[in-house]
Amino acid sequence: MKLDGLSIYCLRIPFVQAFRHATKERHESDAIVVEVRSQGAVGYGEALPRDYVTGETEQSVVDVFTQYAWPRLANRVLDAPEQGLLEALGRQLDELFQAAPAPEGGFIAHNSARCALELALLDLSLKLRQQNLGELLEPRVARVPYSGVITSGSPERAAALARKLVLGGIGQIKIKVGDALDLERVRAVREVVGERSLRVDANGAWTLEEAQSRLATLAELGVESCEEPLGRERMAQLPELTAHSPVPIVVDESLVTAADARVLLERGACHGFNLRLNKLGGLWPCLQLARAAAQPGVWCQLGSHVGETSILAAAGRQLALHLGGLRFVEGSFGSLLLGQDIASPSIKFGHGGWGSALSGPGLGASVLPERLAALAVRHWSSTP
Amino acid sequence: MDQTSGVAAGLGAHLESAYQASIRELRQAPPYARLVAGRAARSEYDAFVLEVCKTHSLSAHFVAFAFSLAPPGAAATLQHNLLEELGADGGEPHPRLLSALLEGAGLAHEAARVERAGRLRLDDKVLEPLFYGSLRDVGLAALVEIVGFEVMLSQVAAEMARFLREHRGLPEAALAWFTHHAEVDLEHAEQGKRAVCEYAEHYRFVLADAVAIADATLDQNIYLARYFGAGSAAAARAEPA
Repeated sequence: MKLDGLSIYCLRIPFVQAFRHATKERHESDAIVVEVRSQGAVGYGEALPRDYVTGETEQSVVDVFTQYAWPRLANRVLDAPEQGLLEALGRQLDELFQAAPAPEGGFIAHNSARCALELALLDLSLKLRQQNLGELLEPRVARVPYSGVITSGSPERAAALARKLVLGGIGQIKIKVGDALDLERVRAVREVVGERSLRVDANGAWTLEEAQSRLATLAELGVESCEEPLGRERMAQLPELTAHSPVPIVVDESLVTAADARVLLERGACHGFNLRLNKLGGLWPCLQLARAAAQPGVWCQLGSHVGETSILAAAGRQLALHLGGLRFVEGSFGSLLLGQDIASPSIKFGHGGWGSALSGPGLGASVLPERLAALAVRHWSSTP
Repeated sequence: MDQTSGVAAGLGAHLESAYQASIRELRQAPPYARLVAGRAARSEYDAFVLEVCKTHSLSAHFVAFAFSLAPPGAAATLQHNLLEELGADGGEPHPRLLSALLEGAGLAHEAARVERAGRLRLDDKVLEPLFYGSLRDVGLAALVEIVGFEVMLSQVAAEMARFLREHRGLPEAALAWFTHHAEVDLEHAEQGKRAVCEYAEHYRFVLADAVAIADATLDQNIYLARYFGAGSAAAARAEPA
């Protein structure tokens, strides 16, 4: 497969309402959509660079595409075999991005960029074959239940959001914690949701001592797991916390690379992995990590980034259906969070949080080019 | 005690306060205030006209949906609204008034784009999975939004007609959609609110659930979201007037 062109759209999509967690407040999605073209077909991928997760920024993603990746892809024939397409693309992208120059600062990996390119190439290849991603990643389950998320804010606001989630039939709820109102917020939500599954995400806001103290109380409130209690800079303390925690520990920002996974598994540093496509570099790395986690009995859940459009939502849906048995699944908020999605219909979960298989060639998202253009604040395009 | 008793009174008071808060926020929002004060660029007036047309181009569909679910106490009000939208009450059909607005603003060439936007919005509503688990809940959300626009327009449409006349130079014939809605008196808007309450009472809502659906519907400020783009309420809250 030889590419005829590549375009990058840096988007700004206002949220229906602000989204807060311990380290950020967001009012809009800053997704980057990568478009690749070949033989009249178009494939779309998506990146949501987060400097506090992978060390990437919007600029670093644009730079790595325009200055590094595209000059190497423009005249190259990509290996896209009928059998083993995902693995073949995965290996070529590993090779490409491992040799990419690292920007300055706290850079960890070009995973957002890699994810966008992987999804775009996959979408394109599948469209050229008139295949849906589900034919490559065969679903093991017919549908998956998505979780609702309650952001940081007052306990009263959290209770109001919880009531909305209950009306939506959502059975699993994640609450953002990491501030002085943590316990009040969880108590307020518990009061509204009754026996529904609750878990928390601290986004690395706690010290070891704070985590130990809060988790003891959260266990009494029936909290089922805690995501990223300590943060990547305190990863070394995770084995101690995990060994005695009354609440299972899930790693998120502490799990960005395959090397992270090896260290975490060797040290028994967590009970679960939070897989996020954008954070880990796409479908192929997520599948590898899910396999690596299975043997020592570490569970996996699928996470999402705030502001994902239907492109990442579609890929996440297909991965979740394929893996089956994920402890929790997040994402597919679509127009529940985005003021406008770039696809019609927006890929989102329905009542009960249920999301089922997607149809149509490619990833399963029908991107509207006019919406993409209307929502872009920067646009770069090139042909060989 | 029946949990639904008092739902109408409680919801009515809550809606009144929520609608008025949203209308205040619309009037104070910088992009709207600029239009009123004549400080906006011509392109901003044109964008406003286009968004009004996109928002209301398929209003009859949404009113018809709400009418199809209306209990006896609310049916007459919604039937009246539907007939008005369609021009079956002897007046002009509202889509024709919107066409006149586009034409009067020199934006007739945008008609196809407006129609497509309305169509896409309807497609999205029909194709996307439903968050709520029953038609009862979906219907309440729809009704809260429909009546919300009626309440807002009964108070603000005359002002909209005025700024389009004075600052964008639109002729009276182009402003008929606004002047028609401005003529909808407060009692008419009150009937709409009563219809929402009748609906909630008839379908045995618990007050807390009805309020939660109303709040979820109005949370992002439907007026700002539809006329000035999604997220404009959040932007207006952050931007100094």
